[in-house]
Amino acid sequence: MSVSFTVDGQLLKSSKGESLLVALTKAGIRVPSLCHSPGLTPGGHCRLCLVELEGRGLVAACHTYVDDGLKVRTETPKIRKVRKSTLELLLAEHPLDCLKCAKSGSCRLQEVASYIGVQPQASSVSDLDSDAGQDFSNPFFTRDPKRCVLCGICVRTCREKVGASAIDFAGSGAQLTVSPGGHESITESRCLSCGECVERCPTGALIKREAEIPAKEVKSVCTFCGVGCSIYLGVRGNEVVSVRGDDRSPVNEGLLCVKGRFGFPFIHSPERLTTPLIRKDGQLVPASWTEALDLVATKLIQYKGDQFAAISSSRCTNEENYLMQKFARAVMQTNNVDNCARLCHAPTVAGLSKAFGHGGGTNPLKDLDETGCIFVIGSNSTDAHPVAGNRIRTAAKNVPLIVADPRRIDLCDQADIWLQLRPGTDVALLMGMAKVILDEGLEDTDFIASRCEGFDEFRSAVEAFDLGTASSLTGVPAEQIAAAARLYASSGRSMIVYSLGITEHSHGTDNVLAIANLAMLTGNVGRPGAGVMPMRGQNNVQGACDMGCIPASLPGSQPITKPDVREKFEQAWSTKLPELEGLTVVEMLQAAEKRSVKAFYIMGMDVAFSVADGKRTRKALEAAEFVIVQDIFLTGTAKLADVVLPAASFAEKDGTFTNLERRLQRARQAIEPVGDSWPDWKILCELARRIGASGFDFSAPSEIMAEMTRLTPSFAGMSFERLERADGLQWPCTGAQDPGTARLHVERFNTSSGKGRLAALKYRPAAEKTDREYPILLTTGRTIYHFHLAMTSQVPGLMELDGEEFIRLHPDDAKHLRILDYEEVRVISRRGELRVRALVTNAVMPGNAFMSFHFYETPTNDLTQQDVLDPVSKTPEFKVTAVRIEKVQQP
Amino acid sequence: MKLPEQERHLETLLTQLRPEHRDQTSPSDLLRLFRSIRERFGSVPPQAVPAIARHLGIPGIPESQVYSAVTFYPELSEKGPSRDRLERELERNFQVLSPGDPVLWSGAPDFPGQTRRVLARCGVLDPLDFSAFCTAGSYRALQRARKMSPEQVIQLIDSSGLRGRGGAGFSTARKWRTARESSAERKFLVCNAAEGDLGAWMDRAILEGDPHLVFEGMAIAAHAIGATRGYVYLRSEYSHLVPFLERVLKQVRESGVLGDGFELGIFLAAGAYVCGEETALLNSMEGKAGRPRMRPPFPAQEGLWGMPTVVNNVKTLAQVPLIVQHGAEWFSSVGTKSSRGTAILCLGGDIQEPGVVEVPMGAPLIDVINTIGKGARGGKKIKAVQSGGPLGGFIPASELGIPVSFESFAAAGSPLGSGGLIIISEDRCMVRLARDFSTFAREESCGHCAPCRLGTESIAEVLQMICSGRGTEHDFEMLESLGEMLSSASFCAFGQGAPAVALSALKHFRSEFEEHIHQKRCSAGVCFPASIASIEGCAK
Repeated sequence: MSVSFTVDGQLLKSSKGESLLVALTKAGIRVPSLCHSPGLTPGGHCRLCLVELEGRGLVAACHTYVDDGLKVRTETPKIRKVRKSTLELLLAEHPLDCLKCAKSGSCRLQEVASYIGVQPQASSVSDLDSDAGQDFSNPFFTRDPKRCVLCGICVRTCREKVGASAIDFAGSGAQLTVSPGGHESITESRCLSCGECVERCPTGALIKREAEIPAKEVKSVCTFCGVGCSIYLGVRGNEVVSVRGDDRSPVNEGLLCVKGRFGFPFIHSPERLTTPLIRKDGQLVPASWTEALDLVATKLIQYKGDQFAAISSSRCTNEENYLMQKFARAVMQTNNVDNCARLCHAPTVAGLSKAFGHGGGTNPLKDLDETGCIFVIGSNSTDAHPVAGNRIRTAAKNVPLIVADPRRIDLCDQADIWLQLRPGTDVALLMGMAKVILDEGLEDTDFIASRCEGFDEFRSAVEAFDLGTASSLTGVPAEQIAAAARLYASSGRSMIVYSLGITEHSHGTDNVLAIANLAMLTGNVGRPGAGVMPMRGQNNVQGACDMGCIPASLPGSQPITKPDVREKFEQAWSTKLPELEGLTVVEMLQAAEKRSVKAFYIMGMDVAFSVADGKRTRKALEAAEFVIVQDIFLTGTAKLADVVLPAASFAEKDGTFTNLERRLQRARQAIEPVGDSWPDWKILCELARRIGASGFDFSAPSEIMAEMTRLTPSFAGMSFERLERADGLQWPCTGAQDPGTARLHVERFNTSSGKGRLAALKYRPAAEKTDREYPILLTTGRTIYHFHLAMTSQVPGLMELDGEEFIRLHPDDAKHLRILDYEEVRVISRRGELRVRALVTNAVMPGNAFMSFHFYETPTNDLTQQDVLDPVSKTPEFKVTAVRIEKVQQP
Repeated sequence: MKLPEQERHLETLLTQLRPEHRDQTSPSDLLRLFRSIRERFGSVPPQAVPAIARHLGIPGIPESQVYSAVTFYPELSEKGPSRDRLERELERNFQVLSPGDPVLWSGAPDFPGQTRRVLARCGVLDPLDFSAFCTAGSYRALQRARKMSPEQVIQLIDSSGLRGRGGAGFSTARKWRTARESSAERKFLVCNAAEGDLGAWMDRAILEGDPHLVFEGMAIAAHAIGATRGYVYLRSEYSHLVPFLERVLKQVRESGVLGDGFELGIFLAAGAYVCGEETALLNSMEGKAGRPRMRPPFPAQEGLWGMPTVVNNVKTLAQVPLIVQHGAEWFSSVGTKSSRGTAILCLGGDIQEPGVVEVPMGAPLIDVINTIGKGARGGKKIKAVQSGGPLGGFIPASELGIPVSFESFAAAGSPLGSGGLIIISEDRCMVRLARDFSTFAREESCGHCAPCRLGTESIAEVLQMICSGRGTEHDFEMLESLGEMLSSASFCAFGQGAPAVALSALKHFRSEFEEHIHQKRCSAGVCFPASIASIEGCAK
């Protein structure tokens, strides 16, 4: 609703509910303020944004709201006098050694002081001992309480935007400070080092350690997870010197996590590969591009057909992934092309495709703000997808949150119900909830009748999961299962958020189907605030699958086995295509053991340390005759290669990435490729040409996308040109006028019948079982400070915050094993062993343990197994590994 | 953390606290938990708070909030002892009652010149004799109110013209109606007994003398707004009343007079003056630091836990049963046009007969002082009357003829406030008084906004300089501009009122300031040369 009011005699219009400060600022009228920050609730701390309201006197514009007929004056003698008094007092307790302060020039206090016109006389704060009281504990930023004006922006940012509430005001009156919860240093607190408060601090109280002012900014996309935060890379010369969140992005609204804000120094790491390497006499030695590419071309000609396998990269762009599968299929004549989704969300693609008809998340992230209930299962979102996790955390202040996780993850602190289920019992939990919903008549009968099929079979399958059974299988008290079911079913609009805790099982596809069941049963699909959100792990894992780096499908999930589809591509690519589905990642490796796959082309994936059962994986790679690794670092996998091709990072090339909302966003070249590295697409084109293939004469990624969209109906409406203008486009986007699809399945499902398919599931226990020899059940996952291995380990600050693997185990188990906190232990599984230090914590349940997988020194995946895979998606059971933990006897 | 010797005990205590609480503990238990830690160990060392917070793990309270709250409240923080010393010193100096002193009933036993309505049974019946109170009419108004519709009750209160007795004088019926009209599923009623003005202890006197009248008023208000839960928010210095009030409440509960739909409890505050402000009060009940909230929304719209909450002063609620019982007309049969009914005042300071009194609104102030209070102690002349507490002001001797009412006190430049009156005799130094009140304001500023956090400190500093003989001509301008800043730019009523006492002293007694600054002389003989450095020296 629009209201009009006068400001200094000028008539202004604004919308109701807006504060005067915001309305005036929008109208280009300057109102000085220290404690206002866009998007935060008003603080009312600094009292500098005073305006005079006729009939009311002075008011703070930040928490006075526009209304019809208001008469506002922004400058009167009284306003001048009063705000000057306040500012003088603020300056009297602020150090005035501005030239020593890194904020000088961009300091809001300076700016306000010059606007209000105060000549500071003298400060009570001595500038002699400028380090006193500072907190240097965080590698990325410094806290200097002396320069704090107690505006509370940091406190509100941490509470309202990040949801961590690591800092708050402490004390009262003149002794008021901002404290990290009473801890001596910020790193001891719950601070997640995201730096959002640093970004918003108006003074030098929070300062980035390494802050260079960029000469220009280039809009791109963060590559540290599937959320796909929009960023601006700040560039000076040929160097990325800064990163900031794009506050106009619907994905992240300006927010970034610690990796997104501080993790990009990897781009300029001295460890970057700058030249091709060729193995000579067992050693990798530098070579020219010509030499390396000629060698690769000559070799690959010998391995055409199914003895070749390509592993594409979910860190590379859509265009590069498109080229990789085209290379495998059209040039190498095999469908043996896969990507790392095989190790994470392949069950999502399989399960959601089967149930809904599309393998992607159904809703945009912003729906988390308008849902009525959030159910997070098998997703440590605040660590693995921090910006989405923050959104969950802040949304959960107003709506119920259910968390199902064997570990007490951070979200549990805010959960209304925490279901601490035994690893691998998800189907029992979800079907148990479904039974409660049906027994209590909480299902959406209209939705089931009009939109779903398979209900009768589903209904009878559910009967096996009475509360007693569900409770005894999962270890979750029956009343909690029932309460969660009721909460989820009766909110009106519920969202399910899940991740690898659901998929990385020998029954991962079943788990996904159980989630889809629950959503369909309650009609929570296809509406704002109601849907299913898989949290995709790598920045372009959605895209790599969409682009056809899948042994069974061409771009846009078009099945390779369908003759008409094949024909279309054969015509476009002027070549015959292999008809049979190819091998998945693990199958490729197992085929290499049997010498049926002889050559690997691995682009941007650290296969040797990411695939389950690392030792076996490395043996398989060693067994292959020829291995090409294309990467930005000499990864553990690259070290095993015959030829290493140096790739350019995302900052050095153009392209698109698809986030977990199915949103394609543009990455733009910010700097020239580092050293003699090349963009992956260029390497692929060059190689194909050397092998003598046609159809690889691309001079820019936009041309690659143009070919892809011509062949892929669900992307037909997309182009670089359109993406240039929009904040991304969500597929399906079938025509130039199609705005893209924010929510899937609004009116019909994408299945052949148009109906959602309810799955009659049975409970299957995990394949890996504990026994007397291996009594502890190990689960694995990410921590907030790392992505996987090679990239974040190149960032000293991230290594300082989290530089070592720990095995987290429960105090009861630690006591039983006589293991002390921080003691080094040996962790042994049926496949391998390693040494790490122990962290004793209540966050894991008794009998369980947890490790991340971020360190080469302690290759966690040497412990996991690849013997039993999910039968549908061929994903290994990463989340369930039986181990034994032993004390290391000191010599 | 290192707590030599105590560490193990603390561990034990935390373990005791934990199992029964952890999952059921609500944020509002925070103050109680920390109070029990403090009671056991004498203090809560701030460096131990993070560990305690982590250990308690109260759902919904981040560790930083625990630290924020614990360091905020004088009763829990290290600031407590020095703040308490200051308050006791001021009470001694001003010759007003301390919270622990027995209540005085001015004019007892026959109370000449008073109109005892609210106080009718105070000091007359034994508050632990429940049946005596029932015989005398307690809870009959509640029965009557329950037979009326909530809207009828609100209508009745509206027509009586009852205004809040806590200081702001806001229409009680309007607050109730706002809460009534909300469709929220839960609503709360809070009786504000965070009586913190120096020398004001009317609320305590009523709670001690006739708690039933307050409980009954609360039950009627709850019926009117649709609240199911009520709390008496009790000033922490009145903690000694808790066992007594709990005993009375037990009798009340057992008798069943409150009915099934309304539960009553006591919430003990933690020593912050600003928590008398209703939004700060609500924050403290939620286990947060007691800093005022942004308004709107007003508590009657979104209060405790975001639910509509009516916060009424003890004296306001105590009027409610009388209005229901005797009618609006009876209520307004005394009083002035816009201040109806009676005023409950507390006479203190340099007065012959101090104590709590109840007089009709409109009674001349001078009569109350002379007739009921028997004039100034020792036959001295009265220089001024301090009203409205630390955010109030002075009424100079020349204006003591004004009637007791919200409007005439406001017109005289010194609000009636909650009704505490400190009589100032000719022996007192007004500069010193201004300094003492300013020091109190500085100590109690919550720090939320810059003008109050920094301005209260500056004012106290300037006045201290003047008292110690180091004042300059420039100080007048300084005080006035700081005063203007505080009153017009502060976030809440506390900061807006914080300079009022000093400015009022300056306005009416400027010559005393000039004498201090120019002649370095204090006619009252209390400032320099002796004991000028610290507040402790201000006792005469």
